[in-house]
Amino acid sequence: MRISLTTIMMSCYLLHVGAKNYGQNISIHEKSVSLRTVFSKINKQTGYSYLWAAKTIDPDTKVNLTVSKEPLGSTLEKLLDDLNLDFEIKGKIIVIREKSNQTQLSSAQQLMSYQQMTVKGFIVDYTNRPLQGATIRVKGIPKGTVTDQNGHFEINGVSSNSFLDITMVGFAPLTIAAKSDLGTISLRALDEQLQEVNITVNTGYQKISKERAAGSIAQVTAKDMEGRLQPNLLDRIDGLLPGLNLVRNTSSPQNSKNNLAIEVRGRSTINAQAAPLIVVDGMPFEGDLTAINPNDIASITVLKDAQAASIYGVRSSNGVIVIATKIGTAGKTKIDYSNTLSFRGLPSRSYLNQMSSAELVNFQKEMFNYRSGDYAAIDPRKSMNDVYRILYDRKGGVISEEEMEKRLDVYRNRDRFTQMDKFLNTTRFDQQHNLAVSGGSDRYTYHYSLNYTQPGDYNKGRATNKELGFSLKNNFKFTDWFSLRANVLGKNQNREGDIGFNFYDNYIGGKASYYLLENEDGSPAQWYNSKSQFEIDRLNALGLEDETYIPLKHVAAIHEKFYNKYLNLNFAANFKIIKGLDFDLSYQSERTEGYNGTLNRKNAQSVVGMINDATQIGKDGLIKRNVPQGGQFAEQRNDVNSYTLRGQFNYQHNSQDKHEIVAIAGAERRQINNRYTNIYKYGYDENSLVYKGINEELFGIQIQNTQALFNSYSILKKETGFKDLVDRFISFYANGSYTYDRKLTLSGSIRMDQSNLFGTNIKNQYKPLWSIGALYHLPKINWEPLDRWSIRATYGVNGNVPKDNGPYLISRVNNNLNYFNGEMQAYIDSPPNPLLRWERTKVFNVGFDFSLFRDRLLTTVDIYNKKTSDLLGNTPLDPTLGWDMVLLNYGDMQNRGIELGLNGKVIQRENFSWNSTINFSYNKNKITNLYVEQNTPYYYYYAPQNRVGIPMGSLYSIDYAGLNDKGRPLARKADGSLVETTQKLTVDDLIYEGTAIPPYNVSFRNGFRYKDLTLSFMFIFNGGHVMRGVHPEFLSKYAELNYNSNFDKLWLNYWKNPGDENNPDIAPAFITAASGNISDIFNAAHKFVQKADYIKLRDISLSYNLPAQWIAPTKLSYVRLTAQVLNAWRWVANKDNLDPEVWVGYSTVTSPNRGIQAPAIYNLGVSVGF
Amino acid sequence: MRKIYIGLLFGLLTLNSCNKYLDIKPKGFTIPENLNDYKLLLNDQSLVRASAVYPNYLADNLQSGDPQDVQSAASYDYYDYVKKQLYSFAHGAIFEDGQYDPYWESAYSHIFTYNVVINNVLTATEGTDAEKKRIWAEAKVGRAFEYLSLVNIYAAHYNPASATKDLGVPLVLKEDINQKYERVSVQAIYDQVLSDLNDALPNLSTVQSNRFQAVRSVGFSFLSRVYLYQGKYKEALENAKRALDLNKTLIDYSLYTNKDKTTWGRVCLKTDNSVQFPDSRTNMEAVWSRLGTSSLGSPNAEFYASKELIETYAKDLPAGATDKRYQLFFCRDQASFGPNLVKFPGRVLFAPYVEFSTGFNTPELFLIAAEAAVRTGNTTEALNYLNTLRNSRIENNKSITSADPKIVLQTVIDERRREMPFMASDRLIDLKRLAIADNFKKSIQHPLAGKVFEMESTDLRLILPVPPKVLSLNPGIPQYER
Repeated sequence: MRISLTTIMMSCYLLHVGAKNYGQNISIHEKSVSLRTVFSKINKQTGYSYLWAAKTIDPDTKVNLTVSKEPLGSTLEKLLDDLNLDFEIKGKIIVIREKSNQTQLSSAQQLMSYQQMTVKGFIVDYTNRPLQGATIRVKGIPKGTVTDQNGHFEINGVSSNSFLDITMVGFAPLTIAAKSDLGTISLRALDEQLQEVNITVNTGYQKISKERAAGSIAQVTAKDMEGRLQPNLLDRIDGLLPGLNLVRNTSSPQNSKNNLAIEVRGRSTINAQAAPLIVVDGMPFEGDLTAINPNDIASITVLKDAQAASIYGVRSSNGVIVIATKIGTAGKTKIDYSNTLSFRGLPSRSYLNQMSSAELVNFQKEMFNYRSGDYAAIDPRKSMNDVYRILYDRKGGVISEEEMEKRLDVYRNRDRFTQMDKFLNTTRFDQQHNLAVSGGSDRYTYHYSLNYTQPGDYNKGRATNKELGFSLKNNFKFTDWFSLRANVLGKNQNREGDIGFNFYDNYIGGKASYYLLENEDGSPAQWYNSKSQFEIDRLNALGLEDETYIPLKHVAAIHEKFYNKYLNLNFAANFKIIKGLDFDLSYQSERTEGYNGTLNRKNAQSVVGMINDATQIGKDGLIKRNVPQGGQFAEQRNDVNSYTLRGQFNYQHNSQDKHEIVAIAGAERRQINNRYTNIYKYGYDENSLVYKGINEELFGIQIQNTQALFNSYSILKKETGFKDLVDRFISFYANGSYTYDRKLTLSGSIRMDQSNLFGTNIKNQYKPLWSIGALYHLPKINWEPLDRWSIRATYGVNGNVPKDNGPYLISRVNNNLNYFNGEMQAYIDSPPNPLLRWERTKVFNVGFDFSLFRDRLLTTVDIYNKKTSDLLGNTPLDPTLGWDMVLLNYGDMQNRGIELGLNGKVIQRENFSWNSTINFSYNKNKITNLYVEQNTPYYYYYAPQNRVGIPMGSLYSIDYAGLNDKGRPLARKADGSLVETTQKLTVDDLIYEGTAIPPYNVSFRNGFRYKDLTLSFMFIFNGGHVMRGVHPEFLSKYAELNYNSNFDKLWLNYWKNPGDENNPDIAPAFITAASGNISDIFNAAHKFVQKADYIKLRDISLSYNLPAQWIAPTKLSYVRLTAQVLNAWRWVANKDNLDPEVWVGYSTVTSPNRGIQAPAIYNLGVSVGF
Repeated sequence: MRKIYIGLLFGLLTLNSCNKYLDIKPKGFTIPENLNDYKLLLNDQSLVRASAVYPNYLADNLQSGDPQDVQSAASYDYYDYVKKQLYSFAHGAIFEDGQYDPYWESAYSHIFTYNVVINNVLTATEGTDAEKKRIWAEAKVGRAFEYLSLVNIYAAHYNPASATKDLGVPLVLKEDINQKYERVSVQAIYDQVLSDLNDALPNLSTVQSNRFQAVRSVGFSFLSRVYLYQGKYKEALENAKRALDLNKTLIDYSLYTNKDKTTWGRVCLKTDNSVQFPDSRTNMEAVWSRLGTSSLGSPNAEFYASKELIETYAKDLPAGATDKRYQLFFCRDQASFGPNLVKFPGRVLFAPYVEFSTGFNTPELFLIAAEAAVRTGNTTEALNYLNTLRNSRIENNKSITSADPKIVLQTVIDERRREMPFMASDRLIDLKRLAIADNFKKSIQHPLAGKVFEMESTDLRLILPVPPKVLSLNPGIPQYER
């Protein structure tokens, strides 16, 4: 076991920092104990630490010592004299050196005639925290010292031509030329666990040297995230890892089946889960990713190629994201505190481009004139938009033209959006606090952290999630052969408050802008939902519930309580068995407990409406309430319990530095239990907690002759009852690598997963996933700038097992009763299907790494080809066999791409540096084989398409040829002829536009440091894709039911008179109830498809580290101030200036929507260390 | 050594007993094993929806609205592709590529479930043998019903002379999604239906817990229909009588009237307009309730009665009498479904807004009995059945007294048309059946915007084609010319 000298020195020293009141007399009676033990005893008795500077004598050397109440000096003489060692006491540190050498060498040195001087310096770590106990040696002579508590050191009599070696456990050694004032010297931190290699890659199962890693791996460390204040983990790593993309637009075709909205190297599946596997501290993570405090993260590694899967098994064919959290470093206790305040203004309303009240009133008037009903046919029980009510009054001759305009003017002049100050915060304010304590000795290290987040809300007074997270990480080294890790990670979130009305929603959109929240006289305004005042009065007269709805009074009508508790216990024991071989036993248990209780109080609009709608009044006048009076309470509880138990052997062998073998083999069992309860109670009283039962046989049937507007009502069953799912897995895996002469590495890995997945054929489960790889450090060539270069390649096979389908017939009992007979019923969930095969992805990856200009420019290039065959998907089957869709292997897909990472230290000066990083990735997705049954034009243009020969999520459009003289849209067929209906189009007449998923992702980061000031910013570019731009609505609907809110201003510009068709931007004429065959020509028009490329300046941050000299006198080790701006600037390729990250409009079925533009966010952060 | 032992011990613990660990039964899912599992499957409410409305668009009782009709749901332009294809007597496929055929697909999907029950319930655990046999028998009735519906829509009508050669429909009797099936003859399908019914009949219950349960009377009703279709009138009469012995309830339609400004519930009791016309769950006439499939529209307010159908209601109607079926379920000249009055002078919209049972009902039994009786030479008996039914349907009715079997037969056929104008695909099946039974042939005319689509009632286009979705997956399946 190699434990470096400095480790011993440091750890022994630091173990006892803080001991103060010790006696000077020592009593020791020991036979055959190590020097180390003796010094440890001395330390206990005196408080003196030691520093072992004797290179030739092992501190484990066994000695005998018997002293009784002797002073320190004589004890040490007695102990060290025989070993030919000398000592020197500096403050509270005993420095031990070889005796004879010192005299010889120092006398030799004195012969030299160079100028002697005193050297002073101040040593700090990268956070400018002073380092205590760093060793400074003068090269070649046994002269040296260690730094004091404040990081200062001083050595006398150093010749001016000598060099100083500075070493410190956990930091890279540094050699500098001696001069009298060295100023501040910053040491670079190493991953303390593996000092012997420079860069390691944490795969979760093992840490391997980057020098031996053949796979395609991207990694970021805490250092890379410094100065980023994004409170959310994913946002904080955005743009840092080539090949990892965050999908921000929730409506994007990329985002379906991808609940994490992150994607590694494109999509390799259509129907299966597309999110990558998340691994935290070596174990798969089932919890909410927000439970991980981004400040606690030591590194994030993304495994992108076949090696990922063969390490992690079936869940990992979409890539694996390995998160390692910070662990304690042996040394003085460090305390870090940081506080981030975040400010964001209300989103811009002008981006929404909505009609003003006046424009809306005029638009409604026009629409009314195109299509409206008879005045006589107005149903007095139903509510109607106020403007249409006025228009009907005119139509019915009740009011004059003049009176109508006068009344309409009232609405034209009202604007709710300008009257929201009272209810909305113009700036949302979030805050986050982090406290971390870490430290330890060589036997025990710890890292504890506490994190509290409280987001704000635009709604004044609305409750938000309070989040309290904590992490306790402990590493114990009990004996030389046994060490233990014990981690606890937890997060509690809770929120409780009234949510009966959302002012923010009614600021961004909602009811027409002329509906105010407060009347002109300041009283709370009443709004109407479906029922008119006439109907509300009628119901009140019958003695039924009052359905008067006053938004300001409705806030308290709905009350919500939410909490979510996550707890993760992670233990790992390591046993060293023989030299080179050790065994890890690890166990993780996770528990998530979620609760959501929504109380609709007895006056809630939905409750009174439901009670009235279900009420029957008999001929005798008796009131029969099928839904009981009182509040309604929905409660959902779910808990997810999982555990993983893993045993793993690690083997490492190195013979003469020529042959190096590293191998692991292990087995794992894992269980995930997901339980869920959902209840819904009627007639609930929140104080007594009692409720009234409901006749469940009424669910789902039409109850006739009720007081509902349509005289019948159906009570939908809201309660979904219980779920209890258990997934179990057993896995076996092994991987190993062989390195020859540190030049060539060959590696391989294999994994087998078995599970209880229901109905899965056991024969499918023995198929292993595997990968092989090679890495070659190419010989140095005769080109000066090239320091090192290497080539690596991997190939392997991943797979996905069909989970819910297999050789057995599976039925499920329906949650609802058969409403024809009120009995329980079941349905067949999936037919027996013994012919299913695995979905298999073959991944080939070649990578090149170059280090140029003395490590000033690091370049990584990866080229991959990912071929997925036997894509699993719900595939059309001959319905004659009873099923028209079954899960089958139905297609093939290919992802090819290139990833380029350039990391340049452009300028490296003492006071100024400039680092620049470019991550570029290009992914070309192509579906090579797929059975798609729907092949009429509609099925091509209605939504993004997955079809053979094109990338996933591609758009098709219609060649729109403008309007005819009646304002009807025309489509141009491939032969040039014009048609008025899509039914005359064929697929060949459609225009292929390209994919809606960006193939190019680029991030460009720059960091400038001038003395203690750091400026960094990042641009991201996503491009090469298309989007269906914003366009006016094809107007055709019944006005009073459909045109009731502030639509896009574009809607105003439509064909009204012959000749208007000459304006190319004009929308078609109003055509009553136009069928989709006509309106689709316009909605799916080629001219609305635009480039979706965009560049965003994601963040700019400016950090200032208070100069070390300023804070040295205080207890603080560093103080850093950071200011950051997010979403500061963007450029988009589309002419409407739409933000493709919020745009909603991939489908022609739904009306396009600009989305809500994210406002700029200003973050201010303070971090201090003690 | 101690360390090695610890290591190995944990290693073994991890590897040990894999199969036991993985062999757990998840909750919420079932691999059916016991009788109750099969009972629940047979009670799946989706099995009840068994016949699509759309074949009526081929028959002669229906007339589409104008291209842009005042009653917008009946606008020809807004009709689904299928309805347009049928109404215009288009040749070839009636569905678009890949489109769901609610007739074929729901039938074979139900057959899959019935096959699961039929092939496994007898060996199920728990439950008595009698109980298992009863479930087995009920599933057999269900499967037979689907096959009889399929063979009468997708194949030539049963013709004793050619039934063994005429293409029937695919016969699938196993629950295997990888099997190869065969499109067997019409005879083979009828044989299967009869054998299933004969297997089932002795095991069916005599008491019905709800109208969706297949009981003894359902078996007899079913047999009477099968024999009628086969032209075996003696057996048809015999079984119709047996069924009527168990249930011969008829509702007196004269108790009902219409109310305005509503859709569902527009047919209601004269004495209490809050009591609406009974639906398939409560209708006393339902021997075995089935419902139409929800896809491809409902028969409410989507089409008008053809001129012929309107005339048929006037035929045989005594002076001063009212055919309540025509009065209650149709809207003449105008409709009042809500605040707006829709006017369509001279036309008659079918808009019952009643969920009728499309399974077996007593009126059909009376009609089968009447037809079988007259065809087997017992005109008086036939008139008896006919008049009983008519008395419950026609207000101020007068009995028909003709002794001429030809006239009586024609009246019975007309009465079928009046009683079940859009019930399942009965009219379409009758057109095909009568062509064989009586060499009956007529022209079907579908007017639209000044044009008329026209086709002989013996045209092969009355046989619906195999859906394109099936063809695309099984291109070799033999087909009728269309």
